[in-house]
Amino acid sequence: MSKETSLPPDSELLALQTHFTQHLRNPDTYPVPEGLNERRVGIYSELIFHNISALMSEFFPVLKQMLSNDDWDQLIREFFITWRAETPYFPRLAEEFLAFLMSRPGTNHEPDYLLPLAHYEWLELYLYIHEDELPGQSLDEKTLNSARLKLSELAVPAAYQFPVHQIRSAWDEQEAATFLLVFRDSTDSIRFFELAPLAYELLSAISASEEGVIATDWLKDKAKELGQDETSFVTFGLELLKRFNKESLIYAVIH
Amino acid sequence: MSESRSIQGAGLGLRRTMASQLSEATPDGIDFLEVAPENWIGLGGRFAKQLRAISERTPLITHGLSLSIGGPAPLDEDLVYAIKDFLDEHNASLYSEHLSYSNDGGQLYDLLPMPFTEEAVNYTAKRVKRVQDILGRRMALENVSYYITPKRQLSEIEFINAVVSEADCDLLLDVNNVYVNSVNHNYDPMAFIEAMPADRISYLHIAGHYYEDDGLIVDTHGADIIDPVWHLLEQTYALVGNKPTLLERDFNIPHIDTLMLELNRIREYQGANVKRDVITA
Repeated sequence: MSKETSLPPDSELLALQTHFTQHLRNPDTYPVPEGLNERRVGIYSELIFHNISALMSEFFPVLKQMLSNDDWDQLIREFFITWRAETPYFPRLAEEFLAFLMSRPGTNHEPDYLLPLAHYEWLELYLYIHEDELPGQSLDEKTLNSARLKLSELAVPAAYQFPVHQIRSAWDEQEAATFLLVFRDSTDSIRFFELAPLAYELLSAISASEEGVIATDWLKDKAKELGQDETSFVTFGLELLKRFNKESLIYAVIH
Repeated sequence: MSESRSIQGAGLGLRRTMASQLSEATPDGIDFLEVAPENWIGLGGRFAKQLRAISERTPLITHGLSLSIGGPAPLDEDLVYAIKDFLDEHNASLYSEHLSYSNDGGQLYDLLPMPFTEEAVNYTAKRVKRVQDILGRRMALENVSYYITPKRQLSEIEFINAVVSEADCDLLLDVNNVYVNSVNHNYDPMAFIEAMPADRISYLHIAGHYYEDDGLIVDTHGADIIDPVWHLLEQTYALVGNKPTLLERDFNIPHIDTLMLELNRIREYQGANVKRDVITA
């Protein structure tokens, strides 16, 4: 950091600016700076609040719909008071808001699905704007059986304790273990597959692996571990991989 | 650096919601488009493809939102380097920012008013110079609308002139902001424009805004342009020449045909004025 382009601690400019933004972030604790017209300062408070509220409702539309207006406004205010968003990039603000939500204890009257839902809505946006493209490989059955497989960056296995993909206003708020593969398809639309727990585990293993996973080996080991029939595990796994292969979500590591 | 395209005529601020339509075809009458780089840098997928299709066909310029050029947080040089790459990638001829601040150690997502002081002039000018060093080109600063003045050692006119001169940068003259400020701070908008450094004006902004009920105007870019602003634009052309002019519309975005009416009116005014002006950055 250059000295020329930063302010010294005794700077008058620094004091003027920080007193003003302290008030904008947290008007209950920091009064309107002396000499400034309260009505006009209020315009800034409103603009700032509405800007961020509008952006977040664009990024988290279901969350916004599920919370009461008071709870939503309270969240936005808390975001201003406790969080310093670093990214200059507007689409990345969703990430900052999720990080903020994860950093806080939450309140009693907030729904338990708040965090899982926020994560799911963030994941959809994350994939929608991701810079990667699908690998575009079409794998034959032999390759699916025997090659080391990897998952595209545009496909993310995710586990939630709520059915986050079904949450809407007339929802009964019941917990249910939910496993999804959320992905961006070849037309750049975001879609998901609901997964069985075993499928989720397999995809998570593939996703986490650096060098790729030979699916049949993994499935046989898993069958052994659980005392289950190897053939039915392998058959189940291959059917699954064919489906993802069709969407070009998996690719083979070439040595 | 690839050779930049010069801009002239009437342009439109590209919002993400318009990208799908404009990526299919750019209507005749949109001479250039302006984007906020912070809305597009690092994006892949559909948005990236749409923007690429647009910038291959229509000249693009950039208007930043997050640099906080006059703000207390350290200058975000990573952002400036990313903007440089973005300019090159899209062959964009211009980068402008607001003469304001938006970051106090965290982004506040709004344009806050600068104190009009010597310290603010020197500090801001140094940061602008650093940005221009990195970009290898001049940037333009926009006169913002403001509702309060945290401290006034200088007049707004003196403040803007001093920053532009000390930083050796360009000016993006926002005609709507001049009008809004002239009402909110009770001055003559034409006298203000006459006092701006005409040879440093790279292009103009024009927009609509809302009235508050007690006579204060809040600049929202969410309404049609009003007659006094059209009149001011006409007078500005007569004074400084037919600078390229960008229509901003951020909220309540109407159908593209309605925006085209305003763009056509801009071009009519430019056609009626004999002073022609083309800029190359």
